[in-house]
Amino acid sequence: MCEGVEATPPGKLTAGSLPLSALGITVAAVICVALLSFPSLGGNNYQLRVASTLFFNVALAVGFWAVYLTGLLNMTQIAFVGIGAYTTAALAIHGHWSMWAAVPASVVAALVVGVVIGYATLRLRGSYFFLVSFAFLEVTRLFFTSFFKDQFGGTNGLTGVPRPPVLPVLGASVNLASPSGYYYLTLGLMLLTVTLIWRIVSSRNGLVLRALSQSDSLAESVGISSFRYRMLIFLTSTGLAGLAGSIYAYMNLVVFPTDFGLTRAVLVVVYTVVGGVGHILGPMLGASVITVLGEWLRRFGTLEQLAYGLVLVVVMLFVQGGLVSVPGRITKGSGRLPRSVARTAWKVRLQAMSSAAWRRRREE
Amino acid sequence: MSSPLVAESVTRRFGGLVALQQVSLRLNPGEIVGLIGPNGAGKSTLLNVVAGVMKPTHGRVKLGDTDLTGKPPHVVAAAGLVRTFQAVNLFGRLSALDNVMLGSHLRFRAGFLRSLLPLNSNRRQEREIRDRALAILEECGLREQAPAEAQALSLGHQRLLSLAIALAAEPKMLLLDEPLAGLARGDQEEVLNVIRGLVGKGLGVLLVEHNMRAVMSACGRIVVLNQGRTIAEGSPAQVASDQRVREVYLGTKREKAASP
Amino acid sequence: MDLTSLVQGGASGALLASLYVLVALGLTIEFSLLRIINFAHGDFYMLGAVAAYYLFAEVALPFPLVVVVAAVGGVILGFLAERTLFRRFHEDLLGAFVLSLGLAWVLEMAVVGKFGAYPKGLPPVVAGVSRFGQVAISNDRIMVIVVGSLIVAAISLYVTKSQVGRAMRAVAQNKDAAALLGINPVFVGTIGFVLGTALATLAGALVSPIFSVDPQMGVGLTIKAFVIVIIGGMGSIPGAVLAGILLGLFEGVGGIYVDNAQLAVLEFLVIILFLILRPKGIMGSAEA
Repeated sequence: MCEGVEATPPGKLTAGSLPLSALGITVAAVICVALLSFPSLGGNNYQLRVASTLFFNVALAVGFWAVYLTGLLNMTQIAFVGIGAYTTAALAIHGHWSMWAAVPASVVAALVVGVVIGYATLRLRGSYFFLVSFAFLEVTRLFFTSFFKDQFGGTNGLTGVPRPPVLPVLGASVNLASPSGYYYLTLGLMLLTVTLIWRIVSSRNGLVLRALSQSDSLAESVGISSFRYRMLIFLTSTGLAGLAGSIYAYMNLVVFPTDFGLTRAVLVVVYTVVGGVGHILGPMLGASVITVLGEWLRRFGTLEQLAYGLVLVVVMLFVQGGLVSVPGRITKGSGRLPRSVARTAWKVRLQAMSSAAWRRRREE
Repeated sequence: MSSPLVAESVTRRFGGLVALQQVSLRLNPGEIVGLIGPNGAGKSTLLNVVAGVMKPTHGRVKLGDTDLTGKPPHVVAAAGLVRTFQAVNLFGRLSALDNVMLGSHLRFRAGFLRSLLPLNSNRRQEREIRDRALAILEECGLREQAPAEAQALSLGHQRLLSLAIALAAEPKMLLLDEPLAGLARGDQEEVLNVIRGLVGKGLGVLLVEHNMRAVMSACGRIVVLNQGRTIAEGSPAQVASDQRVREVYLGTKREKAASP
Repeated sequence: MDLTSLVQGGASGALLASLYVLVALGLTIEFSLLRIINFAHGDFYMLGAVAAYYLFAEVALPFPLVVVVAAVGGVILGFLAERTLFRRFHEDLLGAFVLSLGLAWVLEMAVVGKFGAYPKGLPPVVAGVSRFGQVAISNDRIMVIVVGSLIVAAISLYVTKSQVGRAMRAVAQNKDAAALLGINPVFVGTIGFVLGTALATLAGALVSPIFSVDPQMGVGLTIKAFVIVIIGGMGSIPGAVLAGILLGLFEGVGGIYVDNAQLAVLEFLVIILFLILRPKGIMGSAEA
């Protein structure tokens, strides 16, 4: 699986915190300006809608990836999106809460449940954590399906979420309940998620997170509380998921239990794997490509799922570093990542792979 | 720095099996104590109990006045008691330097929120950690290997790197679990020299080792375990001449000699 | 609570139990040998049922032959899937999960293309109903319970007594040690995967006269089977058998009193508790 990441050259030793290059900052700034001005440059409603979905999915994929860095395959994320969405919908519909109150309340709700779930599950590892998180996803969906039907509407979902308000921005007014309003909401979500996660993984604590996926016992032996760090990144991802859910409720104005089920959770995993787990650009790229691809495939009806399946199998078998590893393969004709990516590439695979297989090789 | 590590009559049972029976151990700063015994004598269990990986069924573990009995490993490490592992255990996909920098986590831990801010103090501290990690690598003879991925190092270098990581945690007491296993003679000497250097600085070292030659030459005092009990304790010479130790180690020979 | 409905519930529980155990056995064997989580497992079951539909309802082969053909098809399918797809992902949780998802989607959509998206039923194999006092059970159900139990017994015997079975348990406990004893873990893994797949297709064919056949029928069952594998202790065969029986009876009897979704919530809460309190399951397992 593309083992060829070069070691950091001695002159540029980093703690995983990359000094942002001037080029990097410029590129990021140009992209941000372009994204911000896209609606006023005449993006049509369809394009704006696809873009919103794309931003939303990128945010989810990055949040999933952040927890994956510590070696946990976390399927609870979509459950927390559901909790955020249902909190917003219920408070706005039944309690007539304004958006400014409902959004933070949803984040808090996700965090509160997240603390409980985190305490209960984050000591589990590997397949056990994966399956228990999977079970929590199902429990949450079924809970919204069959409990408190008066409040949550059962299988009929919650309809009639009030539209988000019109905001005065710099003298102009932005109608949040329009395609461009949703565009900005999701863009904000994505920028917040990516910035926050990027700051975390490129800080010293990011190094700790990556270390956890490789050896818990060694980390503990030098005083790192693996539980504490997993909890912190899990809650970061969970809070962002709650926020995403809240925005989801305001975008769709209805929420159904099936919106937060296995399919969506699995898609987030797919974005991440197809994009590549070696770098934050991986989940971003994967989510973008698959969202656009899905939009395009939609016209072929049921072929959509077939195509997803084929893409997955092909990527898993032939492009194991994910899409981010492709440019490097082409330029070097091997499984190596490009130098620029390599320096920042954190090849993270599950503990089972990294430590067990590697130790076995060592012992031979 | 003058607080000893004390294990008081530690007992550990697994179901009906008694792995440790009332074992006591004292390790003073500035000495190397060897812990030896045949396979299954309970050496690893004792190490795991002291390091917090396992809880003792009975007994206490203390570092100076701090009671560490049953505390989780990261708390034990924070108290100044750091262990290494018998099997190679490294952050295999990170560079040697990153490995050592992670070792210094206790000293330089960064607040989760604070580390998100682009503060100058963060950057300064980062440079300090890196310089210190490089110095430790230098001390262990690994300066050249700093940028290499840990899993790509030779076994000897990996053992040294394990030691470097433990040192970065600035331990008061170091528990080494067979640090020489699988090493060639020359590499063994290299590791032993590093260990001797540490003791000169006031560290206490508990050396669990199969290699008798190394233990005899390096340790001031040796504790011998057999079947979960301490059967002898004393200077290398005392232990070597102890009747029971000879029985345990040379038992088969004696039996042969006794039979007609 | 009246006795008749309790017995009736017990009977449907027994039916579910035989199905669950057959499907979960394969999953737990695959997990114990390869450390993978195969999400396409339920789709192999679905393929067995679809094959049975064509062979029994359309070609009109005798039913026992249909079941045998489905099992043999499972052997071939399992062999191909392991050799071409899963081989590279042994011990790779994420890789195998995503790969099997892709495979599941491809299989489901391929079947939708040929078979159609809607459920179809098969004619009964053994027509009629047997009465035990006031309790009525269709003969097909009795057939499934009996044949299913026999197969489960045969597999358990095979795994405990045969040479290959011993090799499997050795690999499940410690791959490296097994390799030192001259056992080829990759080969044993392939056998386990083939066996698991064949059990799934066989189960699909066996129950096809009772449950309607549709391309999505495997998805829910995969999840159920994982529940069983977890509760039984991941990788434990007796655990999977016991947990499968318990879950089947629980659903059969519980289904009389509460609706299915609430039952499912309860079930999942039980698993979550289980994983937290006793991650090694009721029978424990080799995995640390």
